[in-house]
Amino acid sequence: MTRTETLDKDYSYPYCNDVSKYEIIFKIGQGTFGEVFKAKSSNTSTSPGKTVALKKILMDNEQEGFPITALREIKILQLLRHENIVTLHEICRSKAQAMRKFKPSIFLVFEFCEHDLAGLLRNQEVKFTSAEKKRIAHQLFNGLHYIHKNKILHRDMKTANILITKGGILKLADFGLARAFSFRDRVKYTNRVVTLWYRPPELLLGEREYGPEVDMWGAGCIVAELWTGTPLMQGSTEQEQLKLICNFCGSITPEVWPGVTKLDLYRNMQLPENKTRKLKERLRHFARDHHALDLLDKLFILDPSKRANSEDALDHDFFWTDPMPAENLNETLSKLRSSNFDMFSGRNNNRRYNSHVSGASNISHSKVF
Amino acid sequence: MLNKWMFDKKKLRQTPSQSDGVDYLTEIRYRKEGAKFIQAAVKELRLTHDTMATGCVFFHRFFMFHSFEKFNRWVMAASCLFLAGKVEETPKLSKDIVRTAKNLLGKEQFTAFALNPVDEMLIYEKILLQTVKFDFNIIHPYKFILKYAKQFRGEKNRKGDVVQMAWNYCNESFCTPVSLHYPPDVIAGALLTLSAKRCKFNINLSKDIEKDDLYEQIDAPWWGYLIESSTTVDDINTNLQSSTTVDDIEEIQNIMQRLSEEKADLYEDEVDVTACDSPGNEDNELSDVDVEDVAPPPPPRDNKRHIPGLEPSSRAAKRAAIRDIVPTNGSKTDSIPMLGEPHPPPPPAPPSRRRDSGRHRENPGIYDPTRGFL
Repeated sequence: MTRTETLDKDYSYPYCNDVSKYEIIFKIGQGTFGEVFKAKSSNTSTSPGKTVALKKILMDNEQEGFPITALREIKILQLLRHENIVTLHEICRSKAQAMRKFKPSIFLVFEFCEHDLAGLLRNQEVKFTSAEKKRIAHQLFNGLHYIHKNKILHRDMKTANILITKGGILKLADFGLARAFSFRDRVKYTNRVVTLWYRPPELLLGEREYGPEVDMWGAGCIVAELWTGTPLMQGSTEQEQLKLICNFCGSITPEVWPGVTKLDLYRNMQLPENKTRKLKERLRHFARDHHALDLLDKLFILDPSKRANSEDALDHDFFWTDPMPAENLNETLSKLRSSNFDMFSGRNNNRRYNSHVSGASNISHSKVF
Repeated sequence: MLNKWMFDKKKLRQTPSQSDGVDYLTEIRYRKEGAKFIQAAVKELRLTHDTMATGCVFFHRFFMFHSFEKFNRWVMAASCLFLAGKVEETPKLSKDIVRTAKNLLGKEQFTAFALNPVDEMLIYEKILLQTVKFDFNIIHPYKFILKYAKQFRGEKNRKGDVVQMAWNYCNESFCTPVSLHYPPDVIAGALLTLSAKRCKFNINLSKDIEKDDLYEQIDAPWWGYLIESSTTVDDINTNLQSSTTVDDIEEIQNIMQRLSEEKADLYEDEVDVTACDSPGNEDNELSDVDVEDVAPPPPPRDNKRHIPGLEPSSRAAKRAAIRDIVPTNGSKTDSIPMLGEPHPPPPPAPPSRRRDSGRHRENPGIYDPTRGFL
């Protein structure tokens, strides 16, 4: 018997349930730091049949113990309680077993959401009405407003991290890169965050003292995607991403963005010159609503200090003019027979998207415990 | 969530360790040793007071569920610090924590870390995590000390003195299980009241604040007690919303008071906990406390101990600092021997007296080859 096993067997953990109270249904994807499974609570538990998402924490870097990313996610989600933020129910453990080399695993137990926005947008059957798009965008900014007010940065805004329940409630998820921030004195953070396609220009230029504006840029990308259906700027390198941004939002110059020259990478990156802002022109084909275009215009402001914040977004005419945001998403979602998680885990027919959908790996029904 | 971690005082006499035959006083000593070790390591690694406090709270909480007989206190303390570093965004590599532990602990104590110290610490971390319920949002009294003191009316320097003293008491309080019994705002209130008394500082509230507003603004049940001088007892009682009573506050004060009385005796083994941070360097991302109104505390007068012939930074001194004093057999049964030495001592004893005080000590002390009998 190994030492871990001995220790594990001997002690009880009054506050940490065994994960066997849930039955795994299948794997639904891969988050920043672990696999995610759909599961339901077994009949013996206090609330039988409840569907949940189990996120298994990978202990890759064994040298540093429990991963700090997982720790941040837990710490932050314990603080946040909001309709538009995914709820963390509890944290469970699996017993150390010989087949798992005596290493007990830790699982985060989340409320289960049937859809993610990435899946819905690439599903040809799904066509949201204008009012529904407003509803989705409104909930997105509501969630962001709440976390920013609580001094949390999400730092990984993308459609794959936006979950939607079958009741049409949007939930911000995957706080694996999230961090607390301070308005008063900005501390230096890593700028290696946010999936490339959703990354704002200041991060690409090496800014390390950033704030909630980084999430607002990502929110802009997501809202635009409600109309375009595919991610707006799909660069493959940071250099290319910057080029795409300049082509879309106009050249990055000290005139439109005072202080940009101070950023570390301003001189190292090639920035296309004399580009005009083509944002509205290019999005007009997709979104005819001029309020929508105006909101996007304000979210895609290059200078982070001028970019719309979540409050500005919520106050924008877009949400206060006809058609008003829908009450729910039933019109569209009720037509869907199954959750998009079911679809792509059942038949693997969407595998070609997997590379950019939350890095979902090949789906397997491997036994996890 | 808070309530889960508040324990009745009776519980501290029915711990798993005591079921395993460790007596109460020994357990209290173990707790203090663990906390002292965390504080010394925090100082060594230049971490923040929040990291120190969180580490100590983990340590105290853990041993409400597990026994000192089964978990080595040094390894667990190291593990608590390792985890607290990550929780408070001041992460240190596991090997750095282990190296610090090796420096601070004696050879014999370090053997508890077994053949592979890092692995041992990580095994402990897993058990620790599951025991403390992944509860990472721990609030400490520090931010309340600053918040409340901001409302004091008075000269900036004197206010600063009170804050500094309360701050040091607070550092010290983590050597005791006081965080298991009282919420952080109550502890802060008690420490401020005590410090004000010690500094002969009369607590008056800022003029521009209406008293009614204050209750709302500060949201602190002990506040009524604090301003007792300027209001009636009835007023206080109507404003006490929590079950915390004046007795509780007095108890914390008594603990801290006793701490400082023991101070003279324990002086030479003192750990300079002020180094854990001072309120001037408060850098708490999540706190919205505005420190500006609190005068930066004066440099602690007594920060450096001058033990003749010993560089305070030498390894032996560090070891001595965290090693504890063997409790005497029931000589102080009812007093609380867990208590360490608040810092700075009011009034600061001149260096010459400290030597003498050793003679009156009830404790024989521990033999340290570099220093002889203490």
